[in-house]
Amino acid sequence: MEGSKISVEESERYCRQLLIFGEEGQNRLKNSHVAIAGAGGLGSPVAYYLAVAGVGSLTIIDKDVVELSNLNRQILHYDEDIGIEKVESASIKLKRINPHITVHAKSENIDPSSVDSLIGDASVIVDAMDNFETRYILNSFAVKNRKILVHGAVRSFDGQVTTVIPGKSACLACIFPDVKVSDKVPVIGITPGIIGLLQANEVIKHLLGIGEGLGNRLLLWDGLTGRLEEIKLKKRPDCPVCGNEYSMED
Amino acid sequence: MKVKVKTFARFRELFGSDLAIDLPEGTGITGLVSGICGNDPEKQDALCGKEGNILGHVIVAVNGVRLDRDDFPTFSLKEGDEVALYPPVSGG
Ligand SMILES: [Zn+2]
Repeated sequence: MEGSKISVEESERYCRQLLIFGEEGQNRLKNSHVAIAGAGGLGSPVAYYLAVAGVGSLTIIDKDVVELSNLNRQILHYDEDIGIEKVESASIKLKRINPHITVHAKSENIDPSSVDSLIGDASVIVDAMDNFETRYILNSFAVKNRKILVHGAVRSFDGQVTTVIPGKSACLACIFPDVKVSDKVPVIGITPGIIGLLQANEVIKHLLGIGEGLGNRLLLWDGLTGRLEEIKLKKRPDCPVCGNEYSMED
Repeated sequence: MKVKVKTFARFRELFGSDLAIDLPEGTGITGLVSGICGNDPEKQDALCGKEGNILGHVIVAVNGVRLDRDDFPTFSLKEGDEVALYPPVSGG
């Protein structure tokens, strides 16, 4: 395949996962670019695990600075990082945990005019945001530009995950047409830990082209009962975002 | 007829989970939720509004498959159906 190949040192670093998907799969990860929107509770585990898995290029987008009240869940950031940009803090940790990857730190707000340049040529977008206003912007962009969007969200001990495959599966506007703005959502760090890892798992499967993705499936995690449920979804033909898209099978 | 209702996230706190409900034959989704809400203003605010119209963001699934809002008026529940009511979460 095109692109650079892993070094001898990298093949030692990744030897346990090379047993799963081989050098070709690892090269594929090395030549992949994933954008993570949000460096908070969800973005932290997503970024860590994609970094150690060897996803070659990570764009991290977040406008905030680290605050003390973030530290119960946003494990990219440490006590000494309070007051610095989250993307700067993230970038330092990710380069230390895997020097073989490239991190693009973007301390900017995601809005309809900035989203294109922020996501760049990433083929997959991870929705690790904390509000639906921005999620709808990412969703429209992903559908229009045919990029995979891996959605996750949490509250308290509960979380949800799904994947938007433009042209094939329901988009966020099909699934969540009217989610209200909510501030200061209660969260225990374990929940975005679990949901973020399910999102990272989706990204890896998609990049490698293995397994069964979460397109048209909404997973609901209930941490208090320890149960994972699934709701089957379908595209809404009249969806204002993806309704006019041609199906990829056409 | 008996149907089972499963609730999630805030709805579990508000309504309890795994409810077994006895309904007249042919009851639809709106009838089910207005029964669950009763006259409790907190429950109405969270799920069905004052007029018994299910709030726009609530996800309703029957036997594991999401039911589109447009289908609410024509959909009738059957004996043994399992209805899931999910208020999407939004934190990160
Ligand atoms: Zn849609």
